Amino acid sequence: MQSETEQNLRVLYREAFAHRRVLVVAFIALTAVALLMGLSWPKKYSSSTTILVEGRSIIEPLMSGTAVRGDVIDRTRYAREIIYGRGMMTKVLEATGVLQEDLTPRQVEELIEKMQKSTTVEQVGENLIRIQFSGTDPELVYDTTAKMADIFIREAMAARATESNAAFQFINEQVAQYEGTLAASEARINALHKRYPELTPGAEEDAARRVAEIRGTIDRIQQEIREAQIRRASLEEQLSGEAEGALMAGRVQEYRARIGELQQQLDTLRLTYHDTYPDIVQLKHQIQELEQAASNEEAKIEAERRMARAEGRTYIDQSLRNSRVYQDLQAQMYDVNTTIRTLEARLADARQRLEEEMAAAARIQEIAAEFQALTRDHEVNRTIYQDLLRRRENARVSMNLNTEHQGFNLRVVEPAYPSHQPSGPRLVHFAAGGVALAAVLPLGLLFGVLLVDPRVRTGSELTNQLGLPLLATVPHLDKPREAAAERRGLVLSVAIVLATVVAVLVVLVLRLQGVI
Amino acid sequence: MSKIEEALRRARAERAGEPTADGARDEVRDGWGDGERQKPAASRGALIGLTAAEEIAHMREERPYGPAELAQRRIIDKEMTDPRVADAFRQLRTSLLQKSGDRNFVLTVTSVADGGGTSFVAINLAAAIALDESKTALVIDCNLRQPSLDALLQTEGEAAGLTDYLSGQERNVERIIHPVGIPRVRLIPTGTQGRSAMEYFTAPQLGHLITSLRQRYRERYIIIDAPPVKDSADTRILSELSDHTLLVVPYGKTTPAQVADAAIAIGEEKLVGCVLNNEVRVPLFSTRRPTQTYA
Repeated sequence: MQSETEQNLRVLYREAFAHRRVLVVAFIALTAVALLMGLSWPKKYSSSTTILVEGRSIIEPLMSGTAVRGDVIDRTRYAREIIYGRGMMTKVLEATGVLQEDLTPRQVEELIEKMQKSTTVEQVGENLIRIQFSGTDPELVYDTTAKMADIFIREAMAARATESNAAFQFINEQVAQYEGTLAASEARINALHKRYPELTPGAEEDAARRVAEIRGTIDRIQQEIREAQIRRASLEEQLSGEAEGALMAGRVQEYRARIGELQQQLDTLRLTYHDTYPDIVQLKHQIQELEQAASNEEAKIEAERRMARAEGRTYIDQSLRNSRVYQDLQAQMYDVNTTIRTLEARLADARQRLEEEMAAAARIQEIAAEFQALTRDHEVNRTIYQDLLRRRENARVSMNLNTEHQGFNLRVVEPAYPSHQPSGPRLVHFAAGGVALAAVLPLGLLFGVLLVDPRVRTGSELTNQLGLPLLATVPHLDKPREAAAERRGLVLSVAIVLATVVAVLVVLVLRLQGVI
Repeated sequence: MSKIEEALRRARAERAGEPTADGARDEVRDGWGDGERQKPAASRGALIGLTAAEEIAHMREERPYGPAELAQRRIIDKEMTDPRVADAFRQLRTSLLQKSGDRNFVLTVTSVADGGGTSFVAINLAAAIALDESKTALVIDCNLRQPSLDALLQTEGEAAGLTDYLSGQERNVERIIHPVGIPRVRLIPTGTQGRSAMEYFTAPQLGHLITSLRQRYRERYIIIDAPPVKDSADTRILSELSDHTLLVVPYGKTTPAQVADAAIAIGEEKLVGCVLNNEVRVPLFSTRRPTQTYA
């Protein structure tokens, strides 16, 4: 059983035979059209040149680490910007003599546009740029390409010199600016020194130390005052205690002692005498008087003490003031009081000094902070300034290199070549393509028509689609004359096709020999 | 008209006691040429008692066509340069014979559309059947609109045919059967009565005619060339009268839908199969030249 494709191809083969006249005519027509197109196709010549660019920006290595560049240089784009630019195009047109004086601006515009369209700039390697130009006149194409490369290199060179100049200028300006900044910050530091002469190195620490010392002194004085007060309290206690003791040892004591003595005498007399004995009576009397006197005295003292207590002072009997102990204590008391007053005076003095010192320390701190900030700025600026000075020298060298073309890094690797062979599709391409297309296209169309045409052309359509038994497939039967004519026609068709191909070849050969 | 048929006719006439119509015989002889006249009358009488096969073997054509003439009339032949068409018809014949078994058959050949080539298929199928020397084929041209087989007739002037018989103008069946120059192939042409006779197709005479023609010889195969099935009621009548109907599908002219319609019109019972006719073939460039000699 034949596959569907095979069947389709068989039908195509038979139908191609049936429609051979149309196919042959189409073949001839298409071949002729292709050939005519090829003959009339404008010849296009192109020439190209390759330029090596060692293109690192001058400012880039100079400024590395200090300033960051925002973009990466795309060399091809850079080259395109220059080459496609109006200035460059105009220069090339002038150099090749295309640009005439009497052209209108519109014509010039058209020339430039045409030139821009025929020029391609592409990056072919890491550092290689290829400039290609195409046109109809091989001489002009060669000339234009060569001039374009020359002018591009010159322009790029000039741009580069400008760039390194600009880099130097830029760095120079920066240096000047930093110089100004440094001078200003130095002046401010000096002014600060002048205004605050006490502002010596370590002044802050000194002030702190003094404050601490004064604080220590104050603490000590306070301690001493507390001690003196304790002594004074103790002395006061002692003084009051002495007074009471002396009170007891005073006149009442004497009365009691006399009474005791008299009582003793009385007791002795009583051992021998009756109470009525005069001495005894006398003695008794005396004792009674003495006791009376003692109680009087006691009452009197009590009254005085009460009075003293009411007045808030220690009652000291006048008689006691004359005792030595009392006087000693009294002396010490005076001493302590003096000490306390002295210490208090000193404490007040120390406190005042502390306040002063603290105020001074705070002020010193403020000034020191300002001073430090100034100093820091100054230091930073000085560092950058020194760095810039060094870079300025590098930039100067780069600039000099560029001005003397020592650092030039654009050169033509492959010079423009005069083109003799036109680029683009040539006659042979048209001829080959035309013959191929002329052969394939009509057959393809026929195939498409057969695919779309529903009419029955194969037996399998009857058996498979309709389920009808196919008994036979009868080929067309020609009368002998018709059959002979068919055969002749077939031979003729093949001959015509071959003749067409030969004609195409002849045209190609003629073209090759320059006849056409 | 063959001599056998004439002999039979004469034998019947003699049995019926009718005198032989000499005038008629002479008339026929004039058309047949010299070969007939040279034959002795006794030999004609000797044929009467022959078997069917022997009769067929004696069915000699008065004027058989040579290969070149057959080719000119687009009729297949054993010695064709390009055997492809003859092979196709042999294949068709074999298929049909297999389908009918031992019996002879009545086959209606019709087409899906006009110009389908039914006459071509019918006459060539007949020729293919008659290639076997023991078989004979009779083609009845029932395509009254376009009677294309008349061109094959070897008689001068208008020949009596089917319409003459059906309309009663010609009562003798033998008179409407004509030789066509192909061995063992006979033709009943449309006749002289024109298209008006189409009405007679419904008459029982047609059925009787076909039955009698078929029963006459066991080895006679009857092929009816019918108009396209889609626009003729005649074809359906003819199909009913025949054993099988063969549908001719012209190459590249009809859609599958049209073929399906035609197949439905014929009916599954009668439809024996299809023939894809007139397929485009690239001619062969054979070194074998057609034989130019005439028999």
